[in-house]
Amino acid sequence: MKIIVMVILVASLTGCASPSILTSKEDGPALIPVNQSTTGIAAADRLYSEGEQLRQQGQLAAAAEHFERGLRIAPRSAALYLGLSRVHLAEGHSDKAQQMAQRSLSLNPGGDSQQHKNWRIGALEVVAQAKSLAGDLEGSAVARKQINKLTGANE
Amino acid sequence: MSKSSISEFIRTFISKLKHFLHRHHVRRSKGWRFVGLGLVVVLMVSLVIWVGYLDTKITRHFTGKRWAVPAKVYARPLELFDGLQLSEAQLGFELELLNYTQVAGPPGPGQFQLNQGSYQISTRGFDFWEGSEASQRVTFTLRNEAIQQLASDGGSDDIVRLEPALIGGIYPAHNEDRVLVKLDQVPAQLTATLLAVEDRNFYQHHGLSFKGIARALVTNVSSGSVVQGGSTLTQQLVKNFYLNSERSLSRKVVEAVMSLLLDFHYEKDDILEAYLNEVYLGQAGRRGIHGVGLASLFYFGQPLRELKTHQIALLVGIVKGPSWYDPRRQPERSLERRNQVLEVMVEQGVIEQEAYDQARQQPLDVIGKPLYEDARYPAFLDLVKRQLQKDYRDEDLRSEGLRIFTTLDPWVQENFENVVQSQANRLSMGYQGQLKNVEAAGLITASNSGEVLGIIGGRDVRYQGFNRALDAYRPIGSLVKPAVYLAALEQGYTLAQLIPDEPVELVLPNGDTWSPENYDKETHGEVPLLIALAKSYNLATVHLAMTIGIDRVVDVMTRLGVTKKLPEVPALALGAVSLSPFEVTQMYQTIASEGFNSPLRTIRSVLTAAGEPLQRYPLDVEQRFDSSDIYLLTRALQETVKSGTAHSVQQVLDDDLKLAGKTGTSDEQRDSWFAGFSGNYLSVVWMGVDDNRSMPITGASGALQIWAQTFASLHQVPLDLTQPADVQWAWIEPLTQNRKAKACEGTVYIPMRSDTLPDKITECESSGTGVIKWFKGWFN
Repeated sequence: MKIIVMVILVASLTGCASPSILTSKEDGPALIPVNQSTTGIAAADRLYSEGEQLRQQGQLAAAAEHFERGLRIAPRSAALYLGLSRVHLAEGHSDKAQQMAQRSLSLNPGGDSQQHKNWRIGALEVVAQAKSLAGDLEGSAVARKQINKLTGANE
Repeated sequence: MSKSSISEFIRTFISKLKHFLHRHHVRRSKGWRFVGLGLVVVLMVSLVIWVGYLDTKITRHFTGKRWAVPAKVYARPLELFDGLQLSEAQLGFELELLNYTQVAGPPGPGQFQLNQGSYQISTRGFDFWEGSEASQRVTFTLRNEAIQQLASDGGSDDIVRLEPALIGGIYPAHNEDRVLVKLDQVPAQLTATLLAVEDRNFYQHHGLSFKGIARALVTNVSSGSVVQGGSTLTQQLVKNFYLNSERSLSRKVVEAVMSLLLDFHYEKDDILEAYLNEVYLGQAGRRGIHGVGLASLFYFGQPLRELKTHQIALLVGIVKGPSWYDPRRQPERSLERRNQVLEVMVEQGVIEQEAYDQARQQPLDVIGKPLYEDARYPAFLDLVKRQLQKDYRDEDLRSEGLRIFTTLDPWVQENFENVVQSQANRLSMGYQGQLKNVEAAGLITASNSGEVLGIIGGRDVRYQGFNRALDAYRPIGSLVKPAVYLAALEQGYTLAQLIPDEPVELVLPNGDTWSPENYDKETHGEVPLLIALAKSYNLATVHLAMTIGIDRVVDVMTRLGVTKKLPEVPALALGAVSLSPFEVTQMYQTIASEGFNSPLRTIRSVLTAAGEPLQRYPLDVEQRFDSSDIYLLTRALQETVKSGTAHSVQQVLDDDLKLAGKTGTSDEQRDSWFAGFSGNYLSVVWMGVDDNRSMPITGASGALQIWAQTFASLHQVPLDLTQPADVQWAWIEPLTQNRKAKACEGTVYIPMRSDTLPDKITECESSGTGVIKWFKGWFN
């Protein structure tokens, strides 16, 4: 029994020749596919762009419905969460807007493509505005600093 | 005033009158003349009062709300798009659920054609929350269990929805069911046919039609059977609306007077619309099917607007006797009746001869079974009702005709049910009958959003009673451990940190001594945190919980989504707390969503009976944990499946899926639990016996098997975690907690929160005895 346990432990912990997840070669950041597509799935892309149009027209409930429908197809799309955060911001729900923006950021922590940067900037912009709306000017300024860092703008 | 009180009033009046005449010595003959006159006056007054009473009855009921319309509950619609993973088996199931029929030629609404892997489906059209979607014809191929080359004639080549399946209703006490329609939503051909068959002078008569009675008499005598009825639609409506089924002359008189009054007060179109919604057209178990709107769905599985001539003829034909002409039970008789109606249609100019010839050739076209059965998914419907009752009054749910769009995925639900039943039966057969009464319950959700896709309330999945998924509160055993380890990670522990898996004795406030043991009754010395969780070591967990504080574990559980007050006792660290499968699912949902809590949802939106958006139940997220701590915890839960207590999952599921999970077994093996998730599904399964007896199974040999088999029956997306920005990988030597520049003997490569990384990086030692020393220390 001890031998079996030892073999498992060695396999799990020593790393070098282990097939363990912890030593897998794919441990870099999981990137959202970078191409012309927003979500990696044409159907979700369509829902995203229709949702954006609706949001810009002020049809916020319909826009949210589109983004959520998109998320059922592409559940890890930072862009779709960003869309939802903007809807909440437009509705004046600063807490919910921030939460959605944070979810978007959590799904898009890295990635140097301009598209990924834009989403991060977009989400931070929502955070900055939502904090400002809620009276947290200091928090808003922190988010703005992060935006400036990403855009390379002078502070 | 009722009829009996009127007669009582008349009797009393006559008696008082007689008494008056007697007292005043009125002469007999003169007196009786006076009595006669009085009686006429009284009768006239009574008649006026009676008609007034009927008039009030008519207007009060007709002007106010006429029907209690039950809420209708729908499953999620299946979305079709390029790249969707869809097996032939699932597509077949979904089409059958919606009563689509396969045809050889071009499909009409509710039909599909299959030609060498290429599908052509004609949807029926549906009113969704965002608006109506018309019937459209969609084509695609299924290759390698995925949709390709999807195209549609409805303007969207990217995404098309099938209509959602109706999965139940919330019914009024009298069990009537209907789908209200406005007159302008009813096909003109249907109203024209109804009038041609039931009441040709409808727009001319005043509620009664002597011409109609005469014509019906002639027609019926000449045809030798009752082809037409003599009652007008107004009379039929009055009969259904206000009167009972008694057949007497007095009831006929009341019916006639009320019909005249109804016609006097209301527009013909109002009366016709009421009739179309009231008419009794069939029976589904205990429920009466009323109105053409529901009957269209009940018999043809299609909205009214989609009906074709032969279907309209059948529907109108059924009016005469829904039971006698039941097209499912009496297909020949109802076909004959339909053709009689078609003849009337062509005679009366409702249709041309050519249309008549075509329609007559058509089969009955009735779907095999109605689109839904109420008792199909009782556990899910139970949760829907509970969530609705937070926002709606019970009375409104039963009467306002609300349309409830839910998250239920029938394919997921059915697969879950099949696995539960087969596994529970398998266990019942073995173990010398000790598990004869074993029960099972659980939930499956979309791991990223908290949408509930399926629920099992017990082995008998159609049972409408005790719903164990919501109401069975059982000790959760080791399912609590991720909360303990998460609390430690939040405190800066790393996955490589060593914790003692050694005997522990705690004196409880009541003076008892608590000395837990590991499942294998052994101790394992100093073990890295990752291994302690993956192997579910009790002693290491208790030591860890005592070091960080039980209050922190309680705090983590609360943030994970447990709303009830938890006991701050050491035994909590080993799961000495009773939760329902629903509550455990909520806990794990927060882990699966990377630290963002989303309340478990069964409802997406609610529409009014008229199709107006009433309420949306939006996706809600709230960050409760730092993504990096959840990332590290999930890595450990993946290791549990890879090499820990849940490794048997890999017997049925590919290890490339990188599934995360945790087994749980309560004291004396009274409860067997498993909780785990992939990239798209999360499920929690419980097994146990209602009388709380010990079982010869653990979490791994009971609930895990159901979980794994269910996951294997569904398309799984690998659990590829997004690495947070503040997580880095490093070579750590657990024994010294030193960080090494590269792989050395005795080191592990682990993800760490940046703020827990040792600053100093050392080179490998030449002796390379670290591993040996470490294992020596462990097994001593």
